[in-house]
Amino acid sequence: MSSIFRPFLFVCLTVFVGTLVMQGPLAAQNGDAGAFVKTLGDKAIQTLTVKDLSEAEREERFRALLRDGFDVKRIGLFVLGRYSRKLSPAMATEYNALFEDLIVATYSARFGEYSGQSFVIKRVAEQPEQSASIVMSEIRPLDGGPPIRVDWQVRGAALDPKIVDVRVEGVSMSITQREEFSAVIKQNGGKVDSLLEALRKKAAKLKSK
Amino acid sequence: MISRTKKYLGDMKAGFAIALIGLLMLGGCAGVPEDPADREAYYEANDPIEPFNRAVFSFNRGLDAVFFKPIAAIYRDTVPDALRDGIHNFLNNLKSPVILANNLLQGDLQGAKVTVSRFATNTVAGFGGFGDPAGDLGAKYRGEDFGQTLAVWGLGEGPYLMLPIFGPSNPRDASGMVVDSLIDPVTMWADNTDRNAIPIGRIIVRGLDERSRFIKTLDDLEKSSLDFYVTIRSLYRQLRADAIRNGASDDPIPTPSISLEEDESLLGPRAELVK
Repeated sequence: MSSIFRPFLFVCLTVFVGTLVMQGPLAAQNGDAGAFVKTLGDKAIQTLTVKDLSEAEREERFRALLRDGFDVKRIGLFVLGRYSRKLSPAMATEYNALFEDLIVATYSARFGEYSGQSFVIKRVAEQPEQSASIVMSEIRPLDGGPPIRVDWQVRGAALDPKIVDVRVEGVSMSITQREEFSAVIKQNGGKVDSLLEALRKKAAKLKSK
Repeated sequence: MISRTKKYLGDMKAGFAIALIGLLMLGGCAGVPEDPADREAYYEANDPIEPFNRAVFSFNRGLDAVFFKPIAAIYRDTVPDALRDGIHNFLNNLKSPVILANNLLQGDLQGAKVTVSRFATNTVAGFGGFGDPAGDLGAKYRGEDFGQTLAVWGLGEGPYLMLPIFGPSNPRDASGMVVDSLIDPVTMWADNTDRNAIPIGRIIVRGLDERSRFIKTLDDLEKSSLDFYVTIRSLYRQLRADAIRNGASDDPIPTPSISLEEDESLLGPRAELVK
């Protein structure tokens, strides 16, 4: 149990600090995926961790960075897996909006907990068969505690880079979300509607807090 | 007397293993869904005894809510940071022999060297393991267990398994846990000298240490998840896979590409099972 839960901590920490990193803005002109992620992360820290920022304002800024730096639609499709074929156009529109809301609600508040961690790019590996790059980074706590490993999968690095997955200590946010979504659908007799319903409820709940 | 105690412990472990196998066989009877999307989800989940696992998970959470979490919170809020860190380091140091055995069984000589030098440094310069000077010098702690060793040897994880109290696992990791406890010199010594309170106390303190470190993490996870059981299952698997790769692997983890053009890749990592 110990070996399992140790990384749990990292996951959470990273998810929120990681969010710092991922919400970066526009591409690096030289097409370097590493520089793109670095710019995005620095911008997120700069704009989202401002003191006395209201939650609503933070969410607004977070959403803007998310849209700039992430291919949310693509991630949403991956997360739905085969079930994405069962979406009608109207449902797809609602799903995209709800999925984005869930990301915003989950990660935006974490920036309010930021306490001076530094964000360092370690190295970039190419994945030519997926036309993607993996940007490996570390988030280092101020107190010299163990750094958190965060890997960013970036597509289209040359022209219009977008992040399509984030892995914290080896845990992929997309894969985790995907397993959760398909479990909700499966438990409700394969109805994709049930997922939309669950997402609406979650959104309402997260908002009321 | 000594041999009786040992035999009793041995019987308990054998009984546990048999119960485990029985459960898995029972679970194996659950039906595979017809719908291709559901079938994909079924294989991806790799959780044929899910109803049983969910029941155990509820039991664990109930126990956690009334017992483990409140105690862990008191521990966190009353014991000073430095002392808690010291206890954490001490427990890690105590695991060194088991880690070393697994380093060697995995053929990881570099890892074995780190384990030995950490143990020597921290035991001497770290006042019996309460400090972690080796870590400060760059030799970071990295746990190894027999479940990971079995994985390195090529054994698959098997279906997901939620253990009472111990939490998420699978047949491979649960067997590994038993083996690790059997080869642990501290436990052996305590068994042989009739000091059974020592291993039990160690498990309790370890649990306290672990739980107190993840109070906020788990709370946050639960808040944002649609199905906490599935979140834990997914995290457990991915974290174990990462531990088996020893984290710092040079190759990026092969995740499925998130691609609209190559529609097949949207089907995910276990799509080949469905075809």
